[in-house]
Amino acid sequence: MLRLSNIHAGYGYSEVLKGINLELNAREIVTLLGANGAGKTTTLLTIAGVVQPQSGKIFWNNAPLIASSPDEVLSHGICLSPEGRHIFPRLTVLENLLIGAYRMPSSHHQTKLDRVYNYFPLLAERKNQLGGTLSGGEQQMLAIARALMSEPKLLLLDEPSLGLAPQIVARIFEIIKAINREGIPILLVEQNAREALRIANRGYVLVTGQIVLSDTAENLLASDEVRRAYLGES
Amino acid sequence: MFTRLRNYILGFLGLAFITFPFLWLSLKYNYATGNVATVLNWAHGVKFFSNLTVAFAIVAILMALHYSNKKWNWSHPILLTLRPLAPLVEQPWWTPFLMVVVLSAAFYLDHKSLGLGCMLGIYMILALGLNITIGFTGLLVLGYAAFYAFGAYLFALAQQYIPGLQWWVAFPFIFVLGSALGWVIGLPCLRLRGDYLAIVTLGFAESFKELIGNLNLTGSDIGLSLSARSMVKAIPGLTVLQTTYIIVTVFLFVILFAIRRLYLSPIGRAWVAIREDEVAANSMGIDVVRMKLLAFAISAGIGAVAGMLFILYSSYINPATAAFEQSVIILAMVVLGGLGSIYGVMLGAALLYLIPEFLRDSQLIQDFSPNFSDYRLLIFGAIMVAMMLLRPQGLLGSHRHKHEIKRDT
Repeated sequence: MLRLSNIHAGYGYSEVLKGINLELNAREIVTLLGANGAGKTTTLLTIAGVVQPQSGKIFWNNAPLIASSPDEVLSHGICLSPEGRHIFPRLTVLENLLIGAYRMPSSHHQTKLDRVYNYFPLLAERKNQLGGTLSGGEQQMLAIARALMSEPKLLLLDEPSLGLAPQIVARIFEIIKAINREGIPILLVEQNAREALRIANRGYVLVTGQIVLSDTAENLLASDEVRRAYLGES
Repeated sequence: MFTRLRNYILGFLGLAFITFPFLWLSLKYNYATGNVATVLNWAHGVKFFSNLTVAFAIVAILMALHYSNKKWNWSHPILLTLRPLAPLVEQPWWTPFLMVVVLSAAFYLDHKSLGLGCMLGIYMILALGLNITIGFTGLLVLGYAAFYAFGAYLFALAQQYIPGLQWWVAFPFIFVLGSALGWVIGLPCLRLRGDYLAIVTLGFAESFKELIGNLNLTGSDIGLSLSARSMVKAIPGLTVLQTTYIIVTVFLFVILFAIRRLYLSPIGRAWVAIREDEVAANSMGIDVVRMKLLAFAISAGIGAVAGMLFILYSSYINPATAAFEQSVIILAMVVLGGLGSIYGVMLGAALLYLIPEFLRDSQLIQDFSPNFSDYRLLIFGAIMVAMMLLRPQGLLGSHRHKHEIKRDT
């Protein structure tokens, strides 16, 4: 579905991605692993149109994805839930969600809301609360829910477990799995490699802007190299 | 409800108490002895308070409008098609009466009050227009008076070349050209935020003021006046001023409706999202560039129309209209009333325009300084500082939250 071919990208003169080749098939969860500064987030931002690739091509449904800004990428059905959640703290949960459905006609809002509340019953309870008053885990749920409101055909999740308690992380990963079961492919960037590999189908390991390893999630979980580098086992 | 009423009455009494020495007393200088004596001046105090009651009535009405949460259930499919009219019908039941009262004020207000009413309407329109950029979209525009002056000069110039040009012919063009100017000014500002944007818009306004103050075409320092043929034609049976008042009021109503409509539409939601978090707004599919430019353009267009109304009222315009103080006064209205709050900024306009006007009559203040209005900016500054400390969201802070929820669930 999504294919990155030899992508080079970066900020200003510093090149972060040095030729990324990556593929994501329908109904898959693919995770990007790597140390800080390896280029995981930049990969997502490049797909989402926030960062423009310096060279290389992105293919979406076998056609080159040409977009100069995130809103154009979203019109192709690729939605990014950015790192650090970026919810609107001074708007209510409901308003946050409605902004997620910005491109949808308002007659569709209710069905979308119902669907999202189905995944996140907690948000339905708190719909009148301001986004900033939610706990970290709830804010992350809101960020994912908001991304879902746009009916994405591909969901890009950047560090959904950032700064959350292990129990909440487990719940969020369950929900991610459930969303994927409905048929939405997910590209997941995670520091929490163990949890990510547990729900993912495949994984890529990035080191300084290059993919050094790609395999199925089970193999990566079992591989000594990954265990040592990312799972903290000796 | 009752706490609000109580606060309102307490506020009124408090103001009466604080202002007592300034308004009810006047100074008498005894030439024989050289002493200054204070004399109680009832008539004066009563007059001031009857004036102030008007201001408070306006405040009370705007507060009632602001806090009314009347919402319709739009879920029926037939009703849903009429939903664009929501801002028109989702009002307290007395709104139509209010509109009639405000319009018919043209018949029972005296000449001076009508003039105040016209200018108040124009300031309310300006505050509403500036609120789009500052309040909704979070773009700090400091040179709004330039758009105001642009509209006025545009009409004044056009009627020189097209003799007998009437305002109803001109106003769509003024709106469109004003919007175009806003769009053009907005373009280089897109990469800027906060203070930097304020500086650029301020620079634009200052250079615009210098330009119109030095071009022969625009009458340089002297300014331009409206020829008799282009002035407002009185409705039969009314004076010109009464007609002008009605025109201003109708414009105010239409602009108010349009802005409420915009605010509740996806465009309004996009503006607020940009204000809250530009990165997130962009990744949620909002075209930030277009929406910012749209905010600039609509805001500037409304400012230009207000300028046209101003020259219809005063029939004369000079470069002082584009002065920095004008921009600051409009900004102060928006901040005082409450950024992003539609009725709030109207309230800010009412307070900051009417109270200095009423104070102009104050006997004691005139004894001390005949040019009380010279101190306006000083007082505005003090009010702004006090507001930032005590109530940063403004008198009627944005009510968006409760508002949207009732409407969309």
